[in-house]
Amino acid sequence: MAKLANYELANVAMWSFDFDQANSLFNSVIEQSSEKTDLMATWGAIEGSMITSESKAESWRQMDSEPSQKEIAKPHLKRPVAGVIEERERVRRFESFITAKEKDILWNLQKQKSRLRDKLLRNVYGRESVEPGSRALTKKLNGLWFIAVQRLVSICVGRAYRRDGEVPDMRSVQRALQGARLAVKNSDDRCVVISTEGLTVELWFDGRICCNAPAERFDDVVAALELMTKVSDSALAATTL
Amino acid sequence: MAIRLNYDLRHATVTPNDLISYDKREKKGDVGSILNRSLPETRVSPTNSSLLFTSHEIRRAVDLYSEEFCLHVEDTLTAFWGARRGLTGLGLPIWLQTSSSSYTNPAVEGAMGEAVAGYLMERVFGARLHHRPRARAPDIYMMLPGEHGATVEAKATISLRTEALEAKLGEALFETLTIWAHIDSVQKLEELAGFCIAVALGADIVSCKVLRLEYVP
Repeated sequence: MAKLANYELANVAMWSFDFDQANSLFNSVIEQSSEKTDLMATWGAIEGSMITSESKAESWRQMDSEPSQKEIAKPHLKRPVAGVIEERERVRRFESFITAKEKDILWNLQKQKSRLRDKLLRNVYGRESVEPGSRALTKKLNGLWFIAVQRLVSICVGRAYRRDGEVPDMRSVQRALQGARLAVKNSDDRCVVISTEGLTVELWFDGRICCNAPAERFDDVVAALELMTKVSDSALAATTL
Repeated sequence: MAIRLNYDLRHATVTPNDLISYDKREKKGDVGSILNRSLPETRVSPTNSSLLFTSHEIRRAVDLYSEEFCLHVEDTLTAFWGARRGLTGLGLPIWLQTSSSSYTNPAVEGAMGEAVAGYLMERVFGARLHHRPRARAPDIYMMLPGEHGATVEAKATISLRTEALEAKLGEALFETLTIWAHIDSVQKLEELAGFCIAVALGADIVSCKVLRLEYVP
């Protein structure tokens, strides 16, 4: 059993379409890394925070006329305890570098968003079409588990993860699967792949669960993800006993 | 589907002088001298080995590490290698177009370089993804065991000649020095590691050269 670091969990949350959670996790990474004046880590976490903030459903639906007019909830830097003059100087440069990069990221993000959203909202005659289907991304919270399935034209993409970042080791997952009537397609220290009702479901060492299937199997994908979350939970429970 | 990943690990030190001479536009010479003084890796062993890159690992790595969006990774790869082996089929009209636009490269070619790099970093160095910078260097920022940051730069080629792989390693080093010289006054480079990864993509075998950089103030 292991617990993911915040930056790992933020990535898994973003991958699972849980943008709200990913956003708050990236903000905590910003605090941790800016306190250490880790430029690369802070820069990346700010980018992650802004992208997930823009990707939230309410924010993605909203369209602005001009990219620069919108304010994004800005993440907060945590000032390090800087002692010697040389160190204070480096902190000053760090803050000014990050501020400049923040502006760049925000501008690029809003420009790209306006480019993408224009295509979605207007048809070839320039008239506004209907909002994209709200059922395209279905999200579900099952206790600690976040489950999401995106329905595309020919396939649906299902993903799940545990919001507390607890992940079982693959050996306990293999033990939890013994006795269960599930066909195990692959099993090693990084991933366990099972087959259920003709669908393939993967559980990874970093807690990701995924299942892709033809679009018409949408309901089965949800069920397959839920089944794997139970396998993962029982593996975790067996480890903590 | 499974691809054999052969890798060769080396390491080199980078000094403030390297970054100064790099700033003075002595870029190619600097890259060459760092490559020349590189030594076999000492942190992990063996320094020459191979891994099996299986279907589900390929899909996950492309999903996590690539800049290109690629849904049916294995199918695209199979079609790509089919075309290169003289089998006509999917995607050929695009690959054979005479324009110099990037559309002549199938998305999976770029995607696989980064995917292989991320996978190698996880398996060989125990690294974890911190973030995937968008449209800027480095390709990947990872955390090594002990929570030390690492910039990872990958360059891929579909040529299997040794010189092509060496040239790609030089390109990756060039990119890494650019970003290091850019952040030098702000980031403590001695707390950072750099990984330059050259990837030669074959249908069944992928060859990689990895150069780990260590900054010595």
